[in-house]
Amino acid sequence: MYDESIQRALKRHRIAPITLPAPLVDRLVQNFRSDTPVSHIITGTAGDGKTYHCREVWTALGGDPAVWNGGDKVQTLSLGTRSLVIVKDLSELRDEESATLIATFARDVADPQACTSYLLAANHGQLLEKLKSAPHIPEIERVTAAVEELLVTGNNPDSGIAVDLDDLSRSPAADMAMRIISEITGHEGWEGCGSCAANTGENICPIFENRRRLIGEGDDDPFKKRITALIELSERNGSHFPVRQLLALVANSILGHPDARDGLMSCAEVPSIVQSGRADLASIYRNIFGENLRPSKAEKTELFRKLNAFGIGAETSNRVDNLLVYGADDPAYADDYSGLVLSDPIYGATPSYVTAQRVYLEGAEGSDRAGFLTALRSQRQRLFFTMPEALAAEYDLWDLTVFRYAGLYLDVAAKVAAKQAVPRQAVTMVVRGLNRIFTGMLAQNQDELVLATSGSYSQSKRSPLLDELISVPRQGGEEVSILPDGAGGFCVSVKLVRGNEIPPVTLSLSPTRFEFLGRVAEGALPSSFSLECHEDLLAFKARLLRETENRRKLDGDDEINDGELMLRFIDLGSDGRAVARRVIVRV
Amino acid sequence: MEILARPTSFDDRTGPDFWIDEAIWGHRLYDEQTPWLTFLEFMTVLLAEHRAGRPLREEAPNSLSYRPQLQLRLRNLVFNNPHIMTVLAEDRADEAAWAMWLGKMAETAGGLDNTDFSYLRDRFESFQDFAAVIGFLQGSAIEGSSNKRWSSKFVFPFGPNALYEDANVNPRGGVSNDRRFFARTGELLYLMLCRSNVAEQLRGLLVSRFLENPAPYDSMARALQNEPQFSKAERAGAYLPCASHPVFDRLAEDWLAILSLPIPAYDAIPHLVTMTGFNLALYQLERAREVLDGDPIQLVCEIVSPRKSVVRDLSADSYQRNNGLPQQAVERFVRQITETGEWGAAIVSDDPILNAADILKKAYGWPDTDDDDIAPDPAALVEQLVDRAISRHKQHIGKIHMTWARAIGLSSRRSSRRVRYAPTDRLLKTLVVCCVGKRLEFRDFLALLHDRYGIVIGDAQARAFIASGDADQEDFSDNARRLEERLASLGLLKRLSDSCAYVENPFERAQAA
Repeated sequence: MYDESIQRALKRHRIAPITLPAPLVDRLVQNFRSDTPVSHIITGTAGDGKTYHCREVWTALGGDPAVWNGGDKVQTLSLGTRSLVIVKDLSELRDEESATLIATFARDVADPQACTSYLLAANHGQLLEKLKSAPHIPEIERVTAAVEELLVTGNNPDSGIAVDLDDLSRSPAADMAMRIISEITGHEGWEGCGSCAANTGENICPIFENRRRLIGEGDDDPFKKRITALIELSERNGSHFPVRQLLALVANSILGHPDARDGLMSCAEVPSIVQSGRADLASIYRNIFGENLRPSKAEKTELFRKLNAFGIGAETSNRVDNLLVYGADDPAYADDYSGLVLSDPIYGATPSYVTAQRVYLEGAEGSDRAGFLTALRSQRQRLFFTMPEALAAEYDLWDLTVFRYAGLYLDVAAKVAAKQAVPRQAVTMVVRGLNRIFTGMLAQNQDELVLATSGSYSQSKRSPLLDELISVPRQGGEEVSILPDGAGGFCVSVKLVRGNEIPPVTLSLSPTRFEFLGRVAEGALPSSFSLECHEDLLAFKARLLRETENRRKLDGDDEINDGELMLRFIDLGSDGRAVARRVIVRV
Repeated sequence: MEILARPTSFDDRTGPDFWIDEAIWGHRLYDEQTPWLTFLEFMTVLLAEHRAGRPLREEAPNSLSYRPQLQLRLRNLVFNNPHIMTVLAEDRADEAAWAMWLGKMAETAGGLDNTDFSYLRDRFESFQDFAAVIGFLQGSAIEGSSNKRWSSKFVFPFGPNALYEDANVNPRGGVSNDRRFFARTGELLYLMLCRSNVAEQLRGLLVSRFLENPAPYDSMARALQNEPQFSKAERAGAYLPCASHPVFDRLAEDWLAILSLPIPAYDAIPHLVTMTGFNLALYQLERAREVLDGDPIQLVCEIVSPRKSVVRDLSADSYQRNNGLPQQAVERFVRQITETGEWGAAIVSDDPILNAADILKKAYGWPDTDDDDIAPDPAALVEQLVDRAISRHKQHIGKIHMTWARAIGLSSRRSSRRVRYAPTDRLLKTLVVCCVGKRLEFRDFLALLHDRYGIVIGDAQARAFIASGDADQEDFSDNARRLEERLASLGLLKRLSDSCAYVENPFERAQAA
């Protein structure tokens, strides 16, 4: 799926293209039409739409689409007295071509009088490679430094370099996913399906059914919300979804079936699949995780690797499994079973599921356990996407993923974004988790932060000495709170003094860190977290320790007073609270 | 590179039988002295030399002679003091507890002329407080859970009062220096840093960060120890053959980089220890390579993958090849004498065996003229020396690569039967902290590790293996990808997109934020 080939395919098949919002295009066009245009670099992951943006800018500024389609690597457009150079993919240029281009580019952006501006597109690696392989002249080095800083921090430190950078991989993919779903499911091409034989009377075409489910019913439909949640959590953990992957996700979700050619159904294949009685394997809830593909293929596809990191299907809770396995016979589950399973005869209580469940429960000789477990997996995936909000809490929806605290995480993120009070439960959980990691003991304190030190190096696992107790509710300048982190997420912030003398110490909370703290606060820590979060948190502690020391210096507190060294050892009381015991050594 | 002569001034009585391992690597590297203990020995030397007014300064080559601290009272209290638990268990009044404990301690304290610890009563408000402080020091001891004798256990190097030499205390109370765990490797480390090209800058940093501004906990060590105790005799005799060496400079630059980070001195210590172990292991390989005149040392590192891979085999091969180098060097070092003109003249002379023995004696300090068991002809004599040298080499020096690579987390046998280079997360973190200034592109980081330490991880560094058909490019690029993922999960790498990532130094970054 490349912009170039898409343009050709559109012509060949004569279908209307889907259009997606590209707010950047308008900004770029405005910029290049202004009197003082700033050169732009568009960067992003493969499939983010870099070429698309370049083409749109070209046509919007009056460039001839035919010239563009001619495929020149470097295109020039004159805008009045100025000219604009567009390079849709820097990596297409040979080294000597790019070296000349970059040299003139560097000179022009450093020169306020220059009358050529640029729009360059490349992914991050190629961009840096091209900049670094260009000859080492001072202008290029200056531009390289500025671009590098822009890439990593988003700020241009050098006001003399008129260049701006737009990183498409920073645009939120969750919104984009919803737009793509509505564009694809609402495309005019579907109109032909109404009269299709596969879709009339008793017949249900799985493709059409998947589309119907994706459109959803009403605003409360949980399906799209859950997809959004997964994408958002994934992005907060640092995995970006480019547009191309989102398009692939939606297409695969609708068309996937393991028996079809390439794992994707075409209309011609539908009747035979339906007849074979295996239409339930086209379940959109499985396709989202690439289960229609061979496992090795799904594992190699980045998109599905990211989504399968949630472990949906493998993770479960007793309550969900009880419902799915015993629900048919257990009166306590009867209502929910009919609401969540029986109500969906297509992908839920399918004849094959009901039979497998029976056989499993009766424990018949030689019964196919593995088959039932696979079916169970699909059911858990289905439940994750279809469980109504009203039942989500009762069934601990997020226990169906490896991120059991993700529900709370999203709740906090939403509250923080809306400037509402953060759920109290989240703060106490974070504080208790931090306390346990800081001290290496199962401390219960949750209204104060127990900042402990090992006395030796910070990486040490046990920390028997108390440095400070920091109040969680605001008190004497101290406060521990959850605040927005400026990048759309949230962080825990520890304030030590009134005023600004010591800036608050903050730690961004990604879903993984949040989960880690949650699990530690609860007491059980899965080994899969290994070193990763632990090290992060110890580094956070080291930063806190540095600031409390600064505070002591500001307050004029010495650790040795009149020849007395006061140590505060941490004891765990009978209620599990960490308390300090003072020990004085005369030195 | 200048190779310094064997020192003649020191007492040879306890010295080695012949001068081969020592001539190549110095007197001496020792496998049972872990990198941590090497660091502690170094600090002991540094402190003694600082007191003598010449820290990290070598006045004449191999003239190091210093008088280390012993601090036996502190060590008895922390590591030879099983009575505290007994006394606490009796649950007596404070006065009685002290009395009981002082009585027991007077009986069992080792190596002290005066076993009266009653000065401690004024320093603590209660016996319980005293017990808590001792418990804390035991808990933070270096390699605290080891089962070494009490006189070879070490408190954390809080500052000058907490530094002392390894010792042997015999049951009759005599204290001697048997070089059991401080086997001079720390002295070699000291000499290496003295001879590096950044000794000047290091000196200031080391003295100011570790010796002159000790943390309050050092005063706790002092309260327990009272006046410092010193060894009776000077310690001399360390020998480092190379007047200068690129490894010395690299080692010192690594130290400098770590000490310049904005982190507390204590936090720097584990990184210093790891880089010391790594550089000393490389020093051993590098010197062996020089003797053998071989190809540059390479360490093919597997970033542990769930499945067996080509890189895993290559990494095990590379480990095995390197592991054999020191022994080959010993053999070569002895045999090279037979290629000299002098040797040729000796074997055609009237008394070849006597003349040959003379040459060997001059070069390697062997054979001892009193030794009866001497081979009858020159060629056999050389064989005899080779055999003896190798069997001695195998006892300790030959094990250094193996033990130290494991100790610093460079090698592992995880999910395999063969040992291979498979760096742990902790070592990777140290490498990032040490080598990356602020940030570095991932590919540049791989190149840097290769140029600086010979570490092969990615496909760009493994060209030779790919060209020879031993591996596909994909094998090594997968290996690099796994490293990228691991660094990212350790918070040491920021990925911009699928094709570009920056390795970031967490401490520099914390500073910028």
